[in-house]
Amino acid sequence: MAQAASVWAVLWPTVLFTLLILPMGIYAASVSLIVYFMRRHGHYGWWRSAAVALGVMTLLFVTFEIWFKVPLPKGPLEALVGL
Amino acid sequence: MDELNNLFHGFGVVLTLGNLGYMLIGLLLGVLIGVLPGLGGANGVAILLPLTFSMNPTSAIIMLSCIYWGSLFGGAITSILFNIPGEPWSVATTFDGYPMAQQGRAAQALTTAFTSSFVGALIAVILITFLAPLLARFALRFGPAEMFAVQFLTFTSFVGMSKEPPLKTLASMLLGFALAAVGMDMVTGQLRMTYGTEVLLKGFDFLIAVIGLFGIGEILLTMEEGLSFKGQSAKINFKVVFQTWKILLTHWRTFLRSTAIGCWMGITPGGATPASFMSYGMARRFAKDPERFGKGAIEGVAAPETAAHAAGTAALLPMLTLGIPGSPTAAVLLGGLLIWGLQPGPMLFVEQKEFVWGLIASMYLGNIVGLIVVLTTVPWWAAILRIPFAVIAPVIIVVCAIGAYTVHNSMFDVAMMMVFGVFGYLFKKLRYPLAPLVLALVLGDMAETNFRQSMLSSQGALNIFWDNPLVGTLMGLSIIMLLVPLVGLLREYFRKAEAEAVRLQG
Repeated sequence: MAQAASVWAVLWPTVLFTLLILPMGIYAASVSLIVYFMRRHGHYGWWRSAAVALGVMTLLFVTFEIWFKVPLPKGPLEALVGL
Repeated sequence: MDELNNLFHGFGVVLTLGNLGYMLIGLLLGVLIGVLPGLGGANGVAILLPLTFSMNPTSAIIMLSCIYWGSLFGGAITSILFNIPGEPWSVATTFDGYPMAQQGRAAQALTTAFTSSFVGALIAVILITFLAPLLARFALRFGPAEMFAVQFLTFTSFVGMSKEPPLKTLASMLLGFALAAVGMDMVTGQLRMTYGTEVLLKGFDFLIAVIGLFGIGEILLTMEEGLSFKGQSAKINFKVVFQTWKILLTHWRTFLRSTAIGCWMGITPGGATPASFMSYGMARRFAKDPERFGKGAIEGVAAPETAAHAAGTAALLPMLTLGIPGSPTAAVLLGGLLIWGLQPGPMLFVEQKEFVWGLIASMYLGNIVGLIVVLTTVPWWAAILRIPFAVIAPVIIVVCAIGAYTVHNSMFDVAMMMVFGVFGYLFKKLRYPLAPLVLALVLGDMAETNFRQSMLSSQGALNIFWDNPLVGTLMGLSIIMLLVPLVGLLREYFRKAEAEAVRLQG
């Protein structure tokens, strides 16, 4: 049962994440997922979680959108920043 | 010596600054993928495939194949230092690799693993260099019936050679065929199993399946074990490297045997995983003192690594010459070929000389550069593995989602990937093999088209499949492969019956 619980603990945020990509855009959804995981399972502070999440997404943004020119799904937040 | 000329031309293609750069990026990404849980050769290449859509095919295949070599190298690091096989084919490496690391011989174990991988891959590439053009020339004469026979042989050898129970392999493969059948029928244009939905028109893309099955499935499985990575640290210096090489020279028999096993299992689609186990078993059987195995025997690392790399490399031979992948990663590379607008198969060697020989030359260079890269950068990769799972897991989930989305820019694919991920977890939990499903999903459509074309040309007579000696031999071999598991069952039955008889007499 403990196994099922820990699998479920990963599964539901992941499912929620895939559902949120469409309304939120992949960047905001991903940052939320990483922050949630680090706070809930790694017991990190807000600052560290946010820094890692933003760092990873910046790296992915540069690799995909700038370097290899592959567009990723964006939401209202990116429109606000003007990307 | 046509091959050598072509090969040197290939080196000319690879040895440009741009291509060398892609090679290095590929290798580094590959080792990273091999080291991280949940990302492996097959889904790593699948996720990064969309990055290459705008590149020219030769540079793209160089980068992707280097990711493949890198991931093969990377799997060894986690097995030896952390006792976690990063890839299924490095399971056998943990048997002796981790004990060596515990005894403080981590550097020696890593050097052995990398060197063995290099030797296995190198011999397999030499084999490809000389065998592939011959096979391609031979395959030019293949009609649909022969192609179907080869594909049939691929399917049945999976059943016959797999380490898993044959019925589980068969079940997994048939599920793959069912998924492959979804969507528009290539011959008549009819819709199959779409249930009136538009999203299923295109059918299931195996790239999405690979990312979900291997990526998300693996993350769920790792989470269940509640992993906190505790490992040995290692630093490799040149003294250890040369000392290990000297020891390895005395084990040349192990290398030759393991390479032979690996090449055979790679060309016939047994794959790298059974090859590594078989090679480990053989090394133990032929050793003078088998009890050393499992306690840190150097051959116990060399044998499975050599075979796994030889098999992984040799799997590209049927992919290039016949368009039939020998492993899930080769299947993903095949998918790449189709996306870049190249038709895999024998014509590739005639029409796309630069591409083929650039790829083969990059196999030589990629493995040499790869060996140097991993030998010098091991401490970094070990450090990456110490990053807690709470950070790694969401990042890998995000990367998988991005990979799934970018294949067709479709959100439905991301949802599909999640579904495949849950299935992948259940499959692993119930010990069903995933590779047959992936290969059936890739080859199912091709095999069906070939079968129907042969049926059209023979007007429905099945004897087209044993009409000439070539197709007859292939079909015969396939049926033998399918019967192999039955022989084992019969033997078991007779042994039981005999024991019963002895018991009754006594």
